[in-house]
Order: sequence, then C-alpha cells, then structure tokens
Amino acid sequence: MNASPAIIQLKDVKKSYKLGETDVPALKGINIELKRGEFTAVVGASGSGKSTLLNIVGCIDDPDSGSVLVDGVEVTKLDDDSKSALRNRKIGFIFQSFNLVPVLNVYENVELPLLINPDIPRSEHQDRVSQALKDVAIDHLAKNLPDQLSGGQRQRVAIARALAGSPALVLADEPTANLDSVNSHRIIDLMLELNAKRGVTFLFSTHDEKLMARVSRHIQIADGLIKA
Amino acid sequence: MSRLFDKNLATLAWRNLRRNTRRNLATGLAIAAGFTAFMLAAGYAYRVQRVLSSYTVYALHVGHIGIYKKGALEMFSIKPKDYAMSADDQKIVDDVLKDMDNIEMSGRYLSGQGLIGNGCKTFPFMASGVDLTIEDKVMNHRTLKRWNEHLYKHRTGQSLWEFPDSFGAVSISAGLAQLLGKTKVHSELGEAKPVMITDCTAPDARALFGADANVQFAAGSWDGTLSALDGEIVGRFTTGLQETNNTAVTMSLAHLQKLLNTESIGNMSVWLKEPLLLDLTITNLRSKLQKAAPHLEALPWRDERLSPYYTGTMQFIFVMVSFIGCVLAVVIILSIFNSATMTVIERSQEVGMFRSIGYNSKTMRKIFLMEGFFLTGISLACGIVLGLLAMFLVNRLHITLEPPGVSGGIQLILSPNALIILVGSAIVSLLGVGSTWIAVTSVVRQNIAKLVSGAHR
Repeated sequence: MNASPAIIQLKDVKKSYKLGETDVPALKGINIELKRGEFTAVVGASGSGKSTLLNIVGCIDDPDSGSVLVDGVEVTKLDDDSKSALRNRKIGFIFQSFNLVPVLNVYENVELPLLINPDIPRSEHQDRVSQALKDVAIDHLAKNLPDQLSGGQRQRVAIARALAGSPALVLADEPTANLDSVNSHRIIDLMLELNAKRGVTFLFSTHDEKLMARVSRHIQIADGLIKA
Repeated sequence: MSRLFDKNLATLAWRNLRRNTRRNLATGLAIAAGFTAFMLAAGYAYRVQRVLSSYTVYALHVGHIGIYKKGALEMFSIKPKDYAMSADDQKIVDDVLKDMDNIEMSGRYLSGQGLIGNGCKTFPFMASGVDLTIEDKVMNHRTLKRWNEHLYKHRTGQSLWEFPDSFGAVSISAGLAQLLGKTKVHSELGEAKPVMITDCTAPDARALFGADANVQFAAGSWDGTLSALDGEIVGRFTTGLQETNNTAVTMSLAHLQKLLNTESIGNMSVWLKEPLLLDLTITNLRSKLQKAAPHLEALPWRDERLSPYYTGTMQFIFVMVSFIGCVLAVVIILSIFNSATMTVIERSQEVGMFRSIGYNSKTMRKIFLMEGFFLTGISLACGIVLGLLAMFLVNRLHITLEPPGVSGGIQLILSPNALIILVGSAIVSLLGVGSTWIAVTSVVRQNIAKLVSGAHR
C-alpha cells in the first residue's frame, strides 16, 4: 500500500455529458483529498454531480480533464485492464440496487472479486468470505440465494462483497436509497463499525439528511462544485 | 486466467442459462429443429453420394482412376482404333502400377455398340467388355455391396466369371431382355439348345424367343467389316437408369474384342486400397505415366467425363443442401443473436457490477460466450438425437421415390455420417459463439457508470 496519507486526490476534475447537441457540465473543477480511514459522505441534491464524482473516484468513468490519484496512482492514464485490476485490488463498491447475481448464493456472490485477484490464493477464499459475512452478521445465510433475502440482508451481502478483497477504499452510491429507515440506519451503523474495525476508507453519497448527522465529514456538492 | 477461475466462470454461465428459461428454450428449440433438418438433408445427400459413387466406381467399372489414351474420352466412339490402348500401352501401365502402393487391383475394359437379335428382331446394344480376371472382386466388392444392395436383389442368373471365355456368356439389362423376349437365363433353361424360329409372325413366336438363352450380336469391326457372334444369356441385371436399361450388355473383354476384331482395349481402370488417398496416388501415377507413356492420361473417377450422372446429380444435391444449410445458418445466427442481445441488455447492470469489481471486458465476454456455447451445445445434442430418431423413422417407413430417369422406384434411405454431424456441429457452435460475441461485445465495452446506472438500456 502507498505510504501517502491521502487515498484519494482529485485536482481540478471536470466532467460534462452530452445531451443532444448540448454539453451539460456535471463537475466543474473539483478538488478533493480523502485521507485513509476517513468516513465521508458526499451530499447534494439530485443531479448535483454526486454520482459522477463517485464514478470518477471509482475509476468507472473518466473525467474530461484534471487529475485523479487513487492510492497514489494516476488513474486517468491507465488502460482498461489496468483500471480493472486497480478496482479489483483497491476499491470496493456498494450499489443502491445491491446488484447481486441471482443465480449465485451469498457465499459465491461475496467470493466474486476474489476469483480474479491473483494476490489472494484460493486457500484464503473461504476464510476471507466467512470473515466478511461474519462482519456483516449474515454468515448463517451463506447458502441462501439473493431472492431469499430481505433488502437489508441483500445490502449486507453487497457490503461483504465490497470488503472481501480488503480494499483500501469502499465507495457506496446511495447505499440506503432502497431501504426503509430502520435498515438504512443499520447499514450506516454497520459501515461505521467496519470503518472503525477495519480502518477502511468509506466514501458514500446520500441525500438523506438523517444519515448525514451520523457522518463526521461531509462534502457538499451543488451544480458540479464543492460547497463545503 | 487459472483453470479454477474458468471453472467458476463456467459454473456461472451454466447457472445463468436458467435465468430466462422460456427464451433459452425457444432459442434451443430453433437450433435443435434446424440441426435436425440439416441432418436429414445431409443424411439424404450422403446416402446418394455413397450409392452413386460406389455404383460408378465398381458397377460401372470406372475404377478410382481411369487410364485412357489422351483424347479418347472425346474421340474413342468416333475413331476407336486411333484412341484405343494397345497391348504395349497396357504392359507399360501394368509395369507402372506394379511399383505403386495403394493399388488394390486394375482391369481392362472395352466398350462397343451394335445390334442384338433374337432371330426375329434386333435392337441396339451398348456393350461393356469386362476383365473377367477381376470381375468377381469388382462386383462383389464390400463397398458396392454395402451401398448398392438393390443391385444384387435385381440380379438374376449367374455371373460372367463362372464361365470360360469360349462359352460366350453375356449378361443383359432387364429392359433389353424384355424387348428380346428373353424371359429366362441359361441356368433356368438347363442345357436347352437354340430354338430355330421359322415364322417370326406366328402366334407362338414370342414364346419361342424365351425357350432359349441364345442371342446374336452384330457389329462393325474396327477394320471396317461386319462381324457377328453368338452369345448365351447367363444373367440379367438392372442398370437402375431408364436411359441404359434397354440397351446395356456386359460380356467378357475377350468376347467383345472378338466381336470388334481387335486386341486393343478402351481403357484400364484402377481401384485403390485407400480411396481417400486418390489425389496423392493419381499425382504419383501421372508423373510416372508422363515419363513412361506421355500419350496416356490418368483421370480421377469424379471427372465429369467419366461419371457424368454422378457429378450432375451431386452438383444438384450440393446446391440443394447448401441452400438448406444457408437458410438454417441464418435462422441459427438470428436466434442466438436475438437471445444474446436480449440477455446482455437485460443484464447490463449486472455487467456493470462485474466490471466495477474488476472483471475486464474480455472476462465478461467470456461468460456470455460460455453461455452461448452451452446453449448451442445442449441444443445441438438434442438436435442430433432428434435427427437420428427421424432418420430411423424415415428408414423404417420404407418410402419409395420414383425420380425421373430412374428405372423402378428407389427406397428413400437416410444415412447418418459421423463426420458430417461433427463438422455441422462445429460450424453451428462457431456460429452460436460468433453471434453471441457480436451481440455482447459492444455492451461489455460500454461505459461502466452507464451500465451500473442502467442508463445503457
């Protein structure tokens, strides 16, 4: 792992989308630095640029200009395969709609990122998956298929999948948007607990004000610019 | 990628097949039905090819290789003397063949025409003079027996090789026998002496024709004189073709040479131990003949001039089967392409998830290709089973076809061939995987953020 205390550094990142013939700016020159172990929420209204910011940090979208360093690596210069490898080893993703594979059971879903990680030998898979499932308290559901689980349980599986490869950074785009308020709080509690226990950096987007109160650092984004 | 990883991908691909059972079932059925149809068409084509090729090579004495004097195929019937193979030519060929591998046997052949009569009426005949030293082997060859069983069923009497040359034994085609009123062959009449018919218009004349097996041949000899010979009908056969069934006569080479007053022959036919090595063998033979007798040429049996009926029929069947094959290929490509496109679009968010957690586009394509391969493979297996079953049923139904130009009906028999099924399966698998590749490639290369958000749809 890179010795730098910053896991994420964004310098003057700009991104716009084409809407017919018009360029619609989503990010208008973003500068952010995220330290290791931070638990940060990106907040803002719909269309403010939260998801675009997370996508660029997660190397699943490219900025039009600017610099993006993930764990000291300038990702804008990487080819597709290198970015795939970086995502696999350094970044975990939690999606709003969970995105579990319905034909794989919980254990197999969590194991997915490990299967393509050459740094993790097969002999370690079971321990890592079991530990991740224990950490999110669903180890008893390992054999279940996703459609046998509740929404909260599915999101726990998604969190376990994000953590199984021991990434330095976990990105979560509106992780509680599809959950009721009780489950939303539980998920945030869980993420906080994992942040404290594993020291993983969490960056997630939300527009739920109740959740914002639980988070130490906010990045307020509006019209493609950081406000606070 | 490790084998373990591939196994996991294969497991995932296999399980994914269950995700849209109805669509996969419809696609699978289209492939299976298409392949069954292909197998039936190919089974028919294969059967016809085997029947006609063995008939041409053995029953028509064309051999795998025919050796002729250059130009003989076009000119022999006009100037037989100039385009025949002399005794010296035959010896040269014998010497060349003696030193070659892959030669099973060779024989000498002559053809001629003239008139055949029963004492009252005469009819034109086309005679083949065959080499009796190998005729037994040629006409009882396992390949001919396997594919032309019907020839033996329609054969009456004895074979030419059972008689000495001096006996004048001949076999005549069934149509010609009927025209001549020769209803019985030598073995059915015993030692009956030739019957003299004094009044050809008498009511009992026709009955008298059949009272003996004697016929008379008249032909213009090669030296320009008229020649005549007696013959004893020892056998009757069917050529299978209306065109020749009223004129064909087979006799010993020596008997026909005597009729035509020559010691020459029309050609030599060569049969190979391993017919698959025909091209290699004929190349070798041509090079040897070029040195020893450049005025002779060696031709493969499938040369249009040697086997016009075979080549004409097979060209037609090839066009027919190719057309069916192309239609089926389009059906299969469109079915799989449609299924794969729908699948990958439905699962675009999942593709985005996989890409997010580090799976590259190559790996994603691999998962979909495996799905396509499994779907095609299972469908093909079903298609093969259905095809074999359909062939079995068709063969059991004893359907008789009466194609134009063929004397008597022929049973529709479909013969499965492992190589055709294997090659057909390989092509369909490639088409399946190729169609999937085209359908998924653009999607798995899409912007991952768009895939994850579902914006791709």
